[in-house]
Amino acid sequence: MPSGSVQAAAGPDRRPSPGGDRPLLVVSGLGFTVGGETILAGIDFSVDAGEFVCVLGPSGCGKTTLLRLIGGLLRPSRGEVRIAGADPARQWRQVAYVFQSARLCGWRTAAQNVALGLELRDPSVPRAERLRRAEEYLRLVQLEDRRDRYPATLSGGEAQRVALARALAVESPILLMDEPFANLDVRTRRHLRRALLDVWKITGRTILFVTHDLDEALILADRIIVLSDRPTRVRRVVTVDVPRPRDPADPALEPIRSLLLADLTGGRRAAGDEDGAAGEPGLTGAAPGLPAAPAGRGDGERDGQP
Amino acid sequence: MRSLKQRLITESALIAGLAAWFLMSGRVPAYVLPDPLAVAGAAWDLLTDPALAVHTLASALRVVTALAAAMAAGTVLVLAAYYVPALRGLVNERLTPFFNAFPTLGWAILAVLWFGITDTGVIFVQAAILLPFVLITLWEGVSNLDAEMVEMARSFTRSEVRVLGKVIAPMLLPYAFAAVRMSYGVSWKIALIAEIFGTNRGLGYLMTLARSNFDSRMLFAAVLVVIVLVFAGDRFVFAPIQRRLTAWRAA
Repeated sequence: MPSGSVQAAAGPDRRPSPGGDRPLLVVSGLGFTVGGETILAGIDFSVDAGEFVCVLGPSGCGKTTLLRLIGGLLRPSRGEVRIAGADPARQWRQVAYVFQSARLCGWRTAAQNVALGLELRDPSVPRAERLRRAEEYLRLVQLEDRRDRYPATLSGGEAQRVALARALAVESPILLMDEPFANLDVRTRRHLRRALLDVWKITGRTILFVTHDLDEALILADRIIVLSDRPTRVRRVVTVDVPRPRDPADPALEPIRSLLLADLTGGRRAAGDEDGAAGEPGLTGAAPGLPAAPAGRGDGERDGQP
Repeated sequence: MRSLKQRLITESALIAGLAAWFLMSGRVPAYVLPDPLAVAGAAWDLLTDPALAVHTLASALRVVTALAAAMAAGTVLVLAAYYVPALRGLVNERLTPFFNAFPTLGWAILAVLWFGITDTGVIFVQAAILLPFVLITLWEGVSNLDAEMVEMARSFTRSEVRVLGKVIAPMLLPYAFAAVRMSYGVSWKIALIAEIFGTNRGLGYLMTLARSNFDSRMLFAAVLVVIVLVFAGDRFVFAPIQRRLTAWRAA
């Protein structure tokens, strides 16, 4: 179901399609073992077309591996992934990745980087059309004025937006995002989350977004799939039925937060395990998602206003 | 940018060397150290007098051909080792050290036995000497490939050719350039040795003649021409191309 143009897909206040039609992505009994170690021990979930699903789990629980399996970059040890009813090895055109680092080609300008995904995927698209689409998606991520800049001169947030545009430009129905904002500062991260939600509403893509940041999942997701420690299973799937834009401090999110917080911290074997979910600033509960800086607070307040 | 002081030292060394040569050449017989102006004149002839320029051109063509052959063979071997891990030991632990260790003179004599007095023989010698430089430099590039970038490319396509062309090759380009620039100088150095044995045309052949005629002027002139060609090729051909292709680094 590749949409012909960005604007065509959906209206501005798009909600996920109801579970009536068959899910676009189905993961069943998915297991992955490497070097005798079981990383994924049987994962089951499904994602509907147009849905924004966050996969939330502690660092090192195999979230990246899960995305690779879904995109067909790795073969599962057990179980299967079905994209629109078929194997990802055949359906790789249905997915596009955004990675934790932007992974831009230093020798290409921002626009040429956006066009790269298209060049790689579909050389039959003529050059003029590639560049037209590159500009269209750069505009969508609000970087049209950076078109001719090389990645070395872009900020981290800008580079990640170029990477997002590159993934959008191939017009795959499914976007797989692997902690794309984890390397950015809090402020930039908040901007990009909002930008991503806008893009999602406009394009109607299905997004599977991996994160270890509970607040991020609460702000973004229609549904959150919580993973356990390794060997990893699905611990819980929750629907976040709070209208967007969401403020992480919104009391309506509180029940889900405490539920998931218990999942994430209770499931940890060692209390002192750093870099895990328990160590995330957003999970401490003091001032969730809101940094001390006044500018940041203002930002957060605006987040809360519909 | 270079400072004036640095510039002064750079050029004054050249001028002092020329002056010393000029002064010395007045005190010793011409076959020991010919007059620099006479050498310059002969060098000019090597580049412009058709009867002599034929030899310069022959050497230059061999250098360029050997360079292209070594780059092509090296690229194929390194890419084969990259894509087929089973070949890595063969390429990196057997072929590279073998070619790296093989003496130039050994190749030069063998080439005469195998190919006779032909262009092919001389080019073979040069390419065989250049190959290990190319292999080592390109393999360095392959081992430094950013695996994340390659994974990114493969996430967009299943065509390895496109991944190679759009992402891997550009990442290897700086290494290829290092290999070409180094090999170009080395190629000229060994061109003359290879030509002493395997040919009746070229600067190396001229030098052999000059040596038996005690024509030091021509010996020096041939050396001067090689120095000028290596310098000019690197400075006015390779460096500008490399600057153009890597302009994005400065942007």
